[in-house]
Amino acid sequence: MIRLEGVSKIYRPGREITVPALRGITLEVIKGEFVSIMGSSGSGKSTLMHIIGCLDRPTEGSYFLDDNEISEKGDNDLAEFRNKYIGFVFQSFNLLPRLNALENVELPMIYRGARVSERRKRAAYALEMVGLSDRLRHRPAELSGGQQQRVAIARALVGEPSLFLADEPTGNLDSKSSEEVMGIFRELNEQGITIIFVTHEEDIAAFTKRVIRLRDGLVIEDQKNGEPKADNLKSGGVRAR
Amino acid sequence: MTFWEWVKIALKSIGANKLRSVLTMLGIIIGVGAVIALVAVGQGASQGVSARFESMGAHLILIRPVRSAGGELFIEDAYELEERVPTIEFAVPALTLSTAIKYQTESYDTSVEGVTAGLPEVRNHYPELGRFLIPQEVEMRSRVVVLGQTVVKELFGSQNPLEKTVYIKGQPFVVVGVMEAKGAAMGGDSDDIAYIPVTTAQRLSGTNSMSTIYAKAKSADDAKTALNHITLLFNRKFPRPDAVRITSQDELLSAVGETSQTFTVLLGAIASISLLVGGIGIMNIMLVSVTERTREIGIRKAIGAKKRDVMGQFLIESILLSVVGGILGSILGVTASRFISRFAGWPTVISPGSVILAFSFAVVVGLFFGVYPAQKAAALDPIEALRHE
Repeated sequence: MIRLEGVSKIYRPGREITVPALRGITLEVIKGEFVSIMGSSGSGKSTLMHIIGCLDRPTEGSYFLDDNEISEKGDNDLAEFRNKYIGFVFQSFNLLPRLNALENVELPMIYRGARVSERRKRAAYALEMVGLSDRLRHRPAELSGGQQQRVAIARALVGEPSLFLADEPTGNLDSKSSEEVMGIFRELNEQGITIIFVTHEEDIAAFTKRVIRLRDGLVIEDQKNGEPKADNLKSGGVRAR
Repeated sequence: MTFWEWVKIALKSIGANKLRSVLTMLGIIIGVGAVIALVAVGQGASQGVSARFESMGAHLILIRPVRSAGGELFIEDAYELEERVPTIEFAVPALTLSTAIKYQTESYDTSVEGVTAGLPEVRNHYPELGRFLIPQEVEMRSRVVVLGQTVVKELFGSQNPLEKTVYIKGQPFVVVGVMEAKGAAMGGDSDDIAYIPVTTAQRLSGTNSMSTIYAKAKSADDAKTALNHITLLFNRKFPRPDAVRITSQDELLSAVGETSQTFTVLLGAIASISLLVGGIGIMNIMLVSVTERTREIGIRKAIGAKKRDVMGQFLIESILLSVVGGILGSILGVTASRFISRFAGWPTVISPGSVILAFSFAVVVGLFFGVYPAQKAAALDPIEALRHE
C-alpha cells in the first residue's frame, strides 16, 4: 500500500540553517491497516503526514504509494495522486464555508472531472454513509462540529481513496462527537479501507491497530495493539456505534 | 469540470462580496461608459461637420481670381470649364456685390450675387417659394431677384414677398422666388443673400470680371481629377500659377474629417485610461481576494485541484468582473450619449464598433490584470495555505 524507504526531509529556512524534520524513515503500511502515527509537536509527524499525503516531497529517500514512486513527481501529478488515492480529514474540518454539505463533498469529484449527475449521486451516497442524508443543503456554519467532521469524512470518502489520512480528527470535537466520528472510522476500516491517524492523543491511538511513534524525526516505536477495541472501551470509553 | 461550472463558482464568490464586487466593477463600468459616450460625442461632432459641408454643396470646387497676381475670371471661363472638363457637371460664374436692398421704407445690407440658372444644383440650395432664375432671364439681363430667408425676414417680415418689387442700386427688381433656409454655415449666414442674373449684376456693377466660379464635380473621385484639370487649364491662361485660387470642398471636408477623427481617437484614448485604472482596481481586489482565500485554495489543492484549476477559478472571476462591468458600462455609455444629445443638444452617434471595442477592451483588461493574482493563487504551497488562518 504505502512504503517509505529512508525518507528524510530537511528544511532550509535560511541560507546557512538546516532543520531536519525527518531523518531516514523506513516503514510500510499494508492495505486495510488502521495505523496511528504519534509524537509530540516537533517530532516530525506533520511532515511525515504531508509526505504520505502527497502534499510534499521527501528531500531524500523514496516514497511508494500503490507502487507509484511519488518523490519524483511534479506538482500536478501530486495533485492527481491526492485526488485519487488520498482522503484527507483535518482537525479543523476545512470545509468551504460558502458551499453546502453536498457541494463540499462533491469537490474532489469536480477536480476529477466527473459528470454532474454521477458526482451528485456519489456525494449524496457518501453523506448517507456518515449519517447526514438530512443535512445535504446545510452549510458548515449550520452544522455542529461533529456533523462538520462527518461532512469532511464524506468528502474524503467520495472519491473512494485507497488511503484515509486523518490529522487529529477529533481534536476539535467533544467526547460524544468524537465517539461518533471514531465509530465511522472503524466501520470504514472494517470495510477494508486503510486509515492513518496522526495524533498525539493516546486515547485515539489506542483505538487503532498499530501505533508508530516518532521522536526527532525518527521512528522510535512500531507496535501492534493486541485488542484495541477492548482496551479502548475500558480506558477511553469510546464505544462503537 | 465544465466551463459553466467555473462560471457558477466564480459568480458565487463574486456574489459573496457584493459591495466590494460592485465597487471593483465601477472602474470598468465608468471606463467603458466613458469610452462609448465620448466616442459618440466625437463621431456626432464629426458627422455634424460633414453634414454641414454636404449642405454647402457636395463635390464643390471654388475658383477665385487673385487680382494682385493678375488673375481675372469671366463668364466665359465658367462655360469653358463646363465644356472642356468632363468631370465637371456644372460651372456657375458668380459676381458678388455688397449692397442694400430696399423695399418700401425698409432697407437691408446684404450680398447680392449675380449667378446663372445652374446655381441651385451647384450649391445644393433650392428655392422654397416661387422659382429660381431661368436661363432666358440671364440672357435678357432681366431685373428679377431670388431672396434668401434672412433678407425676406428683414424686408418683408411675415408678408409674402413674391411678385413684390425691391430696389437694388436704385433699379427695380421683381422677387420671383425665395430660397430655402440653410442656417448658419462656416463663415456666416447662408440665408443672408440675394440672387440676380449675372448679366444684370455686370451692368449694375459696371464690371465684367467675376468674383467666383462655382464648379460641381460629378462625384467625389471626379473632384480630384477636376481639380487637377482646372488647375492646368488656368495655369495655361495666366502667367502666374497663383493667379487663381482653387479650393475643393471635398479636400476641406476630408481635412476637417481627419481633424475630428483625431479628436474622437483622442477622446477615446483618454477614456481608455480610466478603463486601465479600472483594470488595476480589479487586480488589486483579486490580490486581496487571493490572500483572504488562501485557506480555501489550500483545501482545494489538498483534495486534488491542480494549478490550472486554481488559476482558472481566479481568472474567470476577474474576467467575469470585467464582463459584467463591461455590460453595465455599455448600458451606461449608451444612456449617457442619449442624455448628452437630449440635454446638451450635441449630436451623438453610437457606433456598434465603439461599443464592441470598449467591451472587448474591458474583457482584455480583466484578463490581463487577472493573470497575476491567479498565478499567485495557483503557485501557493498547499501546506502553507492550509496553515493560513
